[in-house]
Amino acid sequence: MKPITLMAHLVANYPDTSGCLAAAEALVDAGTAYLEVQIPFSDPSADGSSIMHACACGG
Amino acid sequence: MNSDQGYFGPYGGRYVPEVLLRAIEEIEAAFYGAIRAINDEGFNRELERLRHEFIGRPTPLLYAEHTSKLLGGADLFIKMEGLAHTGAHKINNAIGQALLAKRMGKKRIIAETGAGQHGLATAAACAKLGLPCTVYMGAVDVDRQQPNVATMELFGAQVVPVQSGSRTLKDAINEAFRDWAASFEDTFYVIGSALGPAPYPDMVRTFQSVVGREVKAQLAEFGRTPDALVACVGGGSNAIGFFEPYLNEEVPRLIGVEAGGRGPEPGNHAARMTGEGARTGIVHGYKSRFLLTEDGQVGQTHSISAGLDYPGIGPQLAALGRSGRLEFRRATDREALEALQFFARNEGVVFALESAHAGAAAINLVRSLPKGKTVVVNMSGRGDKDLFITAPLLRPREWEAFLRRELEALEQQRVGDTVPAGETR
Repeated sequence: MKPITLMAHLVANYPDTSGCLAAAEALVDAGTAYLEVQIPFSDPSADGSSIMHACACGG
Repeated sequence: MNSDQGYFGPYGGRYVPEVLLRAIEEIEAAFYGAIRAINDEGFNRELERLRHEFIGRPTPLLYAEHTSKLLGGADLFIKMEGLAHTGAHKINNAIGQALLAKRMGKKRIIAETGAGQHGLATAAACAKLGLPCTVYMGAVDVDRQQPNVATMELFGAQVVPVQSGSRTLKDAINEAFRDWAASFEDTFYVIGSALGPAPYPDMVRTFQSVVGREVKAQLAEFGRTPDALVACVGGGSNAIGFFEPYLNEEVPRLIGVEAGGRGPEPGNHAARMTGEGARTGIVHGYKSRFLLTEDGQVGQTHSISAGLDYPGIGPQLAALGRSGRLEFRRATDREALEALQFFARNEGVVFALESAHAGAAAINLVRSLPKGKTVVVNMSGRGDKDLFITAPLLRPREWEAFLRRELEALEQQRVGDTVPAGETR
């Protein structure tokens, strides 16, 4: 059976540009196969409070 | 004039998270089932009864004779929609959707509100129909519309202040969608503006069109047909209901008035159809014209009236503006305030600040048209709710002194309350 691969989600530019890149690299180094990067939006109505907060900081 | 599969020309649609799709399809089926069953003993008869007994329909059409004489132009009529129960047209739709929710077997209602008029109407409808109700309201709006918050709570609704984003109507809508994504099994989301994912724009227009049908019949009693109709446009619920019987006709002129705010600079107004600030975007589940920043983020807006302080416009209104059937104007904060004073003094009628934007445009229009022409302005709401906004502007010193006395009285009462039981005061 094929092993299940790991996908991670990031909000671009959160907490800042270098912090976001460092987090992305760490996720990949730790075995993340897919990295989903969300562009921060002022009105993320389908997201909860963590992503809302990240969007507000990253935007 | 229904949408074509949820679209009005290029605008409209149903851009929602997958999790909400089934809930919205369920509402669509129930809505068309209910309104098409014209001879159904249930829905339409109950709605008609509530319109008469609870809302107080029909609302009057007032001939504004002093205004017409003073301005020396066309004859002005005022549709007194603000005399509807809870003070605005919002109750027409709130009762309709709450009744639909009940018919669908839903056990809880949620709503968003800007000025508080839709929240108030929904809270009243829920109290009347026996449904629990939660209202999301931006924290900024909670402060500027305290009387409505107090009354919503009196109706038994839970009012949740929203602290995210600009803490106004758009953020309240986001929060209501967030609630609904987790609660749609037993919860109905009552949207108050003519916007959101399909079928909401069709649904809101259908329930609000009673306003336009009444105007048509009432003008006929005066032996008149209209040359122009004027309404304010935030999301657009009062305008689309008021204009509805005439959308497929070539006359009368239909004029929508947006919030010009403090001026034309970005962030100082909420004008989506006039000026350069807006373009096509997708927000809150529908495609329309929005005030967006260069990056595509939703822009800041300002209006003296909470009900017009919103970055988007209902998709059907945007489409009708694009096709040329609707003309758009804007009125500034100051012009709205002047119109409010004008109609209070000359007609004995206090417009809500939202509706006063339409009043300002109507004054200009009446002046520019010849005698004998007929203009109707929709006073979509009455102004009682705006006392905390108008009083500090119109009588600042007296208002401040009054508030100080009120605070002192409250503080003295608190000191009195802390006296231990058993002791005499």
